[in-house]
Amino acid sequence: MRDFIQFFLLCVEFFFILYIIGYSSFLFLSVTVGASELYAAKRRNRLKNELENDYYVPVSIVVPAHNEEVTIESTIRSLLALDYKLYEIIVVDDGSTDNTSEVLKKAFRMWPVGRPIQRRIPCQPEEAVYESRSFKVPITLVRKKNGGKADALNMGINAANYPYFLCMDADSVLQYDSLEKIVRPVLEDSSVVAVGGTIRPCNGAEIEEGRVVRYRMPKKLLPCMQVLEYDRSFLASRILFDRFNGNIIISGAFGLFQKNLVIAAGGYDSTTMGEDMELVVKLHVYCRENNRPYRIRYASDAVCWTQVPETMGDLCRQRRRWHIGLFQSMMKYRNIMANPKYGLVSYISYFYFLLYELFSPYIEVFGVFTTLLAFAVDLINVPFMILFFGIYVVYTALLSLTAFFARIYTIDLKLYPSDVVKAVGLCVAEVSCLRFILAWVRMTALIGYRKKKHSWGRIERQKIEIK
Amino acid sequence: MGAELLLYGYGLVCLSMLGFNVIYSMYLHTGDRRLCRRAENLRKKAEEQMKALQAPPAEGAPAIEPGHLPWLRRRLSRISYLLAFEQFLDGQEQEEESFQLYMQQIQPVFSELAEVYLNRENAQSAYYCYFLDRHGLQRRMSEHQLRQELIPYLKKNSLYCRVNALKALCSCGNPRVLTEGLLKLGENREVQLQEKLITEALMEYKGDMQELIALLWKHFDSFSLAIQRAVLDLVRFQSGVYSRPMEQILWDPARDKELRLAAVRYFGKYHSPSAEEILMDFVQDPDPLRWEYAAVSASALAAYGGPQVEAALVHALGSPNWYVRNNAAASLEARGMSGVALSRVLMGEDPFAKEILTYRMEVRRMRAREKKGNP
Repeated sequence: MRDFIQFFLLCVEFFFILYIIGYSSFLFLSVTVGASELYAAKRRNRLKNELENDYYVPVSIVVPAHNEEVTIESTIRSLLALDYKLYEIIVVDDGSTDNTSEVLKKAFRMWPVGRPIQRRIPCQPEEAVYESRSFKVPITLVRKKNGGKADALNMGINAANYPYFLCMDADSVLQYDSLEKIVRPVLEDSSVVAVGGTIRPCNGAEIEEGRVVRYRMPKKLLPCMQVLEYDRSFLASRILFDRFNGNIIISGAFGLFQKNLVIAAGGYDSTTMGEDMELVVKLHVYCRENNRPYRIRYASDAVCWTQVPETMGDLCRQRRRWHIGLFQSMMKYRNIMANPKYGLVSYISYFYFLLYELFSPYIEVFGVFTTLLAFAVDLINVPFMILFFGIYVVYTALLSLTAFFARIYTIDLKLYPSDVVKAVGLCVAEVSCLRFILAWVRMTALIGYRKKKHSWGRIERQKIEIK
Repeated sequence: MGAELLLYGYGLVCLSMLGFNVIYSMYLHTGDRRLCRRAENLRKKAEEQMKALQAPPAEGAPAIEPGHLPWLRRRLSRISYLLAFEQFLDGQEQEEESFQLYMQQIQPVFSELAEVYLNRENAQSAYYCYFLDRHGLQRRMSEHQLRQELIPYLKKNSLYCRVNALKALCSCGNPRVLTEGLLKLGENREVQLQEKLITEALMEYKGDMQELIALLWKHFDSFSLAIQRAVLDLVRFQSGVYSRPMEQILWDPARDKELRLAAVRYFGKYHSPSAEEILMDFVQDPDPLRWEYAAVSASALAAYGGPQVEAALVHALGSPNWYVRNNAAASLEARGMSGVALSRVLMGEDPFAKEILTYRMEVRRMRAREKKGNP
């Protein structure tokens, strides 16, 4: 028996060594490529290597909303302050039970119209359409039966008048220049079919007319740790994926898409929880299956501010939802796996999300149990285990810090000494504590997920203070 | 053991990056001060020369010191000094005679710099073109110099460089060099600029626009498709006197669809009795594969009066294509329609036509209410 356990532990050790080498190499490449790319972008910006145009690409901004009476008015006002000429705003009220529609009608002087909407993608029928032409750009409100976020987005796409649409959350704020920045990749390369922007936590930020006047690390610890997570993702790994057209996620809070292509691919899938990831993977599949040249880009300088959860309960609910969405997308498009037709999207992006995102909570918890087993049968070198864990924590914390420091290359973020102190202190806690708690949450996420298919993920919202 | 060695290695690189970031952060912190110091240095030297240029010449025309040009060339060969020079130029009274004279005298430096920056990395080349364009320095160059020194930048493997070089060529106001530049730009079919970028650059042309358009027409068939589309857009924004060549494009079925649609848009802006007929044919064309011609023509016909056009647009309201119906309704709303036609649609049996027209009427009423300030 002991021999068998010894052999089993040897196999586990071998697996974990490979697993850690893969993960640390990926993180290492992410932060180095991310930082060097941001450095190059900052230099290009300094040397005016940028497209500054008046000839804009027309964009429809689609804002799906469900019970957003607290934030919806300030969100739409921030959209009206965007520094862009040709766009429209379409709010889709997905059967709210609060006063979301009433707030909008009153605040923006909206009138009921019998506007016919071409149903190019299936979605729940509209109950009423309101329009306002009193502002800088046309605002449309479509009130429809409840069908979930993906269904609301599909309605927004059907109602959109322009060839590109931008999806965002009703509780987020776009930076004043974000539309101009997210459109640039389309002007640079006509094969670009979708562009994702950067999401930054606005807890701790002061925003005036879409401009950030003060951005410091949040006061509460949990949002602070999420800032480090977001930096690792948006200032590192997404830039790496972008290098080989391998981004398979564009956050639902801020993404630009070519409307006709999304319609041809079938729009958002209202049966999945992670409709944002599902759409991007679907676009990869659609373009590759139809041999259509395409690019899915990431614009690190196009910024959307969003509230991150401030309580552990909200954070766990959010991560559970994300994990279910990830699971559904990965399962739905499992034919991508090890499929040469998909190139690096298959061999790097899909494998990364499969191993280090979808399976990682199971692998990590399995690792903890194996360690306990080895300890129980006295087959563990405790000092070495502690050393190895220490190396892992220090190394991952170092990578988090490198990604955090990469903000010096962004155009608008500055590094404050107190923020650096916070980041240094919290990166260790994030890696050694929060990560394991979230691993457990994600591991248990799939239990009973089918019951929540159409639900809107909710976290406790506070009104974003826009002066 | 072994895996942790790899981690040590990675960690070491990350530590070096952190160190670099800290140093770079400090460098950025002092960057503005350094730039100002360099700009001040350049200003002092330039003002000395400007003073000398204002003084009565001992013999011949006034000239700057012989050593100044090589000094300036050496300095401006460094991108940091070129940035500082831009800051210095921003702070100058551009109309002052001594300044104009100084800029004239240092012109040879920019010709030499054109060669220097052409061989630099793309970001620096692009900045040099931006610099020329922003300060109009290329306008002092001869046609030969422009051809020799600016056109090569259009071939560089950088979008920003090509765009900035095109803008610089447009602001120099020389139609021959610009046309030649566009021909060169179209030669690389692999990397084409978006037509919107080309149109916008052309719209900023500083010379005689009519002379440029005439030359562009002359070479029209030699341009790449993206440039042809940009030229047609430019013509539409600038002038209504090109109906004849536009009609030729409109009538020619061998032409690319986008070019013909651009011609349809042109006739939506500039009324032409001879184009009216084909626009009506397009709008009534039942072929579903040609719906784009019908949809764009339906919009273009908003500029045309008469019962025949009204009948064609009313007919288009019943099109199976949503865009054709929508555009036809928008045109009928914009140009107005007779009560007879309106009641015929509203009392008719086509629910789609009725629906779209009712919506356009509502939009019209909404606009009128907002105009009156009575929302």
